[in-house]
Amino acid sequence: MQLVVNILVLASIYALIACGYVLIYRVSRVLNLAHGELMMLGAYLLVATASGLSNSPVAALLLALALSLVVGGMVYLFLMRRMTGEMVLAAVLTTVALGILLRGLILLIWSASPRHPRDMLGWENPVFTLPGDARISLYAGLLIVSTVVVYGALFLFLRFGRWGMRMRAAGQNPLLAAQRGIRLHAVFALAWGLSTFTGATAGMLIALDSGLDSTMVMIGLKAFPAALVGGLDSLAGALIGALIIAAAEVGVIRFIDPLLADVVPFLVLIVMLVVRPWGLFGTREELDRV
Amino acid sequence: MKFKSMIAGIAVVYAAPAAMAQDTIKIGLTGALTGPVAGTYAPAVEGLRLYLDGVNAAGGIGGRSVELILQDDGAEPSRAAANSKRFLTQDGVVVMINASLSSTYAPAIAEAKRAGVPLIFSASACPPEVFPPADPNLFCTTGFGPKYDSQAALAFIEATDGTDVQIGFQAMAIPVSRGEIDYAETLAGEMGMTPVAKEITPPPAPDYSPFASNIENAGAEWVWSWAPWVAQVKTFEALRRLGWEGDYVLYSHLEAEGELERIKDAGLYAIGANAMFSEGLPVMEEIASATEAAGSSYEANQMTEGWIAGMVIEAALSAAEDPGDAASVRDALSSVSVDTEGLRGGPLEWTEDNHFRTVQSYRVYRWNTDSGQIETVRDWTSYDVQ
Amino acid sequence: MSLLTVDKLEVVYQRAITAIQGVSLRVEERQIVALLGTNGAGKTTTLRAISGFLGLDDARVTEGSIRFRDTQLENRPPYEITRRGLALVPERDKVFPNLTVAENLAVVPSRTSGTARKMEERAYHFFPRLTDLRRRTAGLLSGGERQMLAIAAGIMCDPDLLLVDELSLGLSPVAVEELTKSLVAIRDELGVSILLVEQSATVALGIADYGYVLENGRIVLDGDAQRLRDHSDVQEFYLGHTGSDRRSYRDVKQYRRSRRWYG
Repeated sequence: MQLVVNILVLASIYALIACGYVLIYRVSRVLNLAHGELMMLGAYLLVATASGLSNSPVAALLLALALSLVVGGMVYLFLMRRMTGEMVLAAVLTTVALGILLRGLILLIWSASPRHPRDMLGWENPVFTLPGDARISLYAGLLIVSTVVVYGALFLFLRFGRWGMRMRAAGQNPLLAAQRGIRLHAVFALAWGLSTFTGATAGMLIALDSGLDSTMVMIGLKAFPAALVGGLDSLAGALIGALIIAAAEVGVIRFIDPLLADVVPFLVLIVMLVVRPWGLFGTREELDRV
Repeated sequence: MKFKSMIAGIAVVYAAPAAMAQDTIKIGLTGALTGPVAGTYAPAVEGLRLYLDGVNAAGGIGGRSVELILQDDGAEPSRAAANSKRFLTQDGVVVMINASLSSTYAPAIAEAKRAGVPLIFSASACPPEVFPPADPNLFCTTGFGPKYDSQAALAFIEATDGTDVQIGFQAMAIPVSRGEIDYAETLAGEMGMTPVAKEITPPPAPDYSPFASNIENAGAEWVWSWAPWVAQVKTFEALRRLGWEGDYVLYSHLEAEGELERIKDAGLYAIGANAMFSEGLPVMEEIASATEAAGSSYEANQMTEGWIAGMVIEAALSAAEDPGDAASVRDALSSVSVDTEGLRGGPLEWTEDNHFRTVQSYRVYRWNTDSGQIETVRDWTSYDVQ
Repeated sequence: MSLLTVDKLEVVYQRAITAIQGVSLRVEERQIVALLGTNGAGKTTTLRAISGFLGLDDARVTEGSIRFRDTQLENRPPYEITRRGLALVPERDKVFPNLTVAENLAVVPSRTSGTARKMEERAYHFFPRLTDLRRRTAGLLSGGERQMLAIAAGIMCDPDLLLVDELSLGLSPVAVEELTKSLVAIRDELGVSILLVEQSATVALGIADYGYVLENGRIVLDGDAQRLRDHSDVQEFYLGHTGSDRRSYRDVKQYRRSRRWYG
């Protein structure tokens, strides 16, 4: 049972992060390699709001979440927007530069010491015992819940929301979308905002569960195979990809050798790239555009 | 306000060439000031900087001020190599310092040997070359010492609970950490303990529960963890979340004091060579006031490693015939003896063929849930280094 | 004042290639204007210049002007131009293939808020067949249905001027017939002007009030529809009437030379 819980928690972490890669890739074909940094920034935003609003922890959390949405939008409006019309590679390299910048900035502002936003907010992290004697902490459980909620909401939004449809439309054909009067910059900014928001949600919950330090960047990178395995332009794919990678990783830790844990996601990825390079749910045609 | 000191530090680096005075003594430090592992090294570097600022404020070494040139290597070997080259060819430093991951050692060591400039490891793991018979150019002030740490930790477990224990191990997937834990596993077997689990976590694990589950399932009563701080403590916290009730010994890195206070768990023991600030020694007060004056973003209790490195460097420069000459400083370093004023269990002494220290001492701390403060569980225990 | 006035327009692609040069044309209120020309004559470029380029097109209006009512439109982004009442039905990629018919219409932002429903009803009014296809994915539509959807989406933009690029290309005569009727109905009922780019002069001049002939990036001939239909060159080169006496190649060259620098 504990095995299943461990898989679900890890899958949730990967899925929450991976959907950020997918959102941005889907609308703009840009691989956001600063996603790990943006997610970490989100978690540090919680540290910032928590130190300012330690009396009203819920407000601090909500404010941090709102800020992450704004930050993502700002990243597009002030940086990535200038890259539209340039080669995709140039835009991807811009995100790499952004990542380096953010890492430095975070270090300057918050230093490299580990932080514990949960203690700052004065919250506990009780552990629940599930049937089968599996245990799960509150925030690990919230990670699973958030993943379900975020994916459900994103699905409904993209399916039925007018702006969600516009995001899909702009992803398919930005020129036609523009010709129909859709403000591309608004759509892209929204995608960046949502992507940062979901990443930051993951970052904050991980930080609340087990603390925050600068290694969080690498967690963002580890979620990348999940997005690729599922197919970079498919949300459902990201979810399934996250489950596959998490199951493989936890299984290997449990039954084979914990040393391989780091390699497994990339191993699965390589197998996938050989067998089906566009991912489980990705569209084949999308691959040509990369 | 918080990062003023950091900015000032960077400013010093860039202002340096312009303000180059003929008689400054230059020291070059390459360290992981940024990057994922910066948390382990940056505070120590800050401590060293504060110490040398103090030396300069008090008139420097024989009237000559000491200039610390900080270069970030982000824990990347190529950048560490470039930094070392720069120190030697461009800056003309008399001592180089490495405060970074062990992967940066090889290029730094090669440069130091070629130029005959002493290289001190501080805050980073001591390489085998500093142990007897030591390489003439390499020195190490860092608190933790491979093998001795495990000997001391296992001796502590034996003294507390005997040898009839099931013991688990935790390491991070980097060579130093794995090597140490492999050694500890063998040693525990020789001592009559029962090693039941050995979990090696990758440097960034999103969730430590899968690893912790293995340790718990194996039925470990004690765990000895020797890895970078994050891996040690997150494995412990994951174990506790799983309902594990055993005792956990980890190495007391510079984050330890603050973290023991945060976690408040009587089953969490930190073993290490540095004294904790709860003791309130005069030297600790001094570090605290220097930290406060500089408006540093790190806690004073994280600066011990850097402070000790500063003490050693000051002692060697003062003792050197010509503190502006690398060879002369190297000779002075080879016979240095520094009173650590209680920051360690005894003086730090180097000899011709021992550049680690002649005696290594350990203390064990934990959080006392009754008194609500950190207590010493086992006082200084010394090991002769051969 | 004309609804749309294009004056001596020049478009350069990739900062080097001049696609059209000195193109001038006008569209009056409630008028259907045809822009004729062979492949590569510059028709599509003209329409794209009017409806706006994106950064990824790497194209610019380098000279001349495009005035719509009283605003200059050159080098504005497409979404801004569309919101000013100028909608384009492009030649290729005219619908979002992975979206359903209803979604294709729903993504269009209203020009004036609160009119989305009214616009939708209007679109289905002109193309009742789309009502049954609402839930169908646009990629699965036939060519004619796709064109309907594209024009319907154009109407959703609530335009004053509809630009249609290649109405008849690849469609059956029956479908074309139906579509041209719809265009006329749209003009008559909504008072929308239409600028129609066509390869088939028969189709275009059948419904147009006025026409322009574009060749090698330049306007070579213009006039009201009747005049163009009667013009011997147009008859020969665009309407496919060979006439009684066959003309030699030299005469063709003559015709081209004499019409140069028209606009």
